[in-house]
Amino acid sequence: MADADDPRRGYHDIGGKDYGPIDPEVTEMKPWERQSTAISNALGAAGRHIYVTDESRRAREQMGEPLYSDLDYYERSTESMKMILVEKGLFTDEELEARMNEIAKRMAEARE
Amino acid sequence: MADERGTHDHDHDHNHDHDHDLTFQPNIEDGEPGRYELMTYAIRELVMEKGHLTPEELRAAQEKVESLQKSDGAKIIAKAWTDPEFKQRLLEDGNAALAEVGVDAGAAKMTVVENTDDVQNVVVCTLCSCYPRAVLGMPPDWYRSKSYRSRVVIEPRKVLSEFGTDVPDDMTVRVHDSLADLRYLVIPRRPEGTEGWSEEQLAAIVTRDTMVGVANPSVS
Repeated sequence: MADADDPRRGYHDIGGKDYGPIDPEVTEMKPWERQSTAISNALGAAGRHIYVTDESRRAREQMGEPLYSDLDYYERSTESMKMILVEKGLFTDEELEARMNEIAKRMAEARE
Repeated sequence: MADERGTHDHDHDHNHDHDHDLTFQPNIEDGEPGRYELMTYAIRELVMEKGHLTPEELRAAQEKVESLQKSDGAKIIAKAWTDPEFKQRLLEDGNAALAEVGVDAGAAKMTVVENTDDVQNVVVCTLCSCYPRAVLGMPPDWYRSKSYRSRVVIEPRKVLSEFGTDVPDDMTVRVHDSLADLRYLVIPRRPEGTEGWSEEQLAAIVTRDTMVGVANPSVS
């Protein structure tokens, strides 16, 4: 969980480090990224209050460094939302994986 | 990958309208969906089937995300430039002043800071990517990047110069680190040569980057 140089730091706590030059290019949100943001907003503090912003931040700090570093911004927020919804018992990991497989199949069929 | 950048495809054109359709089907020309794209669709189906979200709620949330693509920030800054009392209210209580102009800044405290001849304010979120979305929309890629998050707090002048913004040595640079409960919005310096301009003309020179503080408006 901790930073390699300073065990008191979480891996998300990167202020003052040096991750190199800033790429100024700005990309548009992908449709699924907007979907994920909308679902999260509708379930979160601005909607059903199933969770609040601090919980989704806590999930980001709990997912582990390898996953945190591997995921991009919207992947991270989707992973955090999933972690919280599973914790709160809205669905199980197994249910979700099964549904993802089902949707992948449906989409593959639609592509044929 | 070590950073958020470099993972985006630019060569396909999405049909943005299909987001409003609740029978939404992903763009099949995009090829195989990624894990998190599939997860998003699966979460949506499960929470709706189990009654945690109605189609109406999802539609409203989708429209809100779409509307965030168009920022109101420039109009608010133009009003602040032409109405000193409004500017004062913004600086004193950002959430209340934004509510006056119909912007719900949400539960987080909105702190508005003003660039002056002596001070350049810059906003970051080192811990994640907290951003005044209600006013500026979704944060741009660079704001979310580890490069910006890590560096702007220790070498702000260098980072600003990479954005083409050179800050004189005798000017103070103040970097504000946002939190889940605290957001920042910068009122840029109104440039010389804009005396007598209408709010509409002024709004046209206020860009997103100037309200994050990495750039300054110019009339040229």
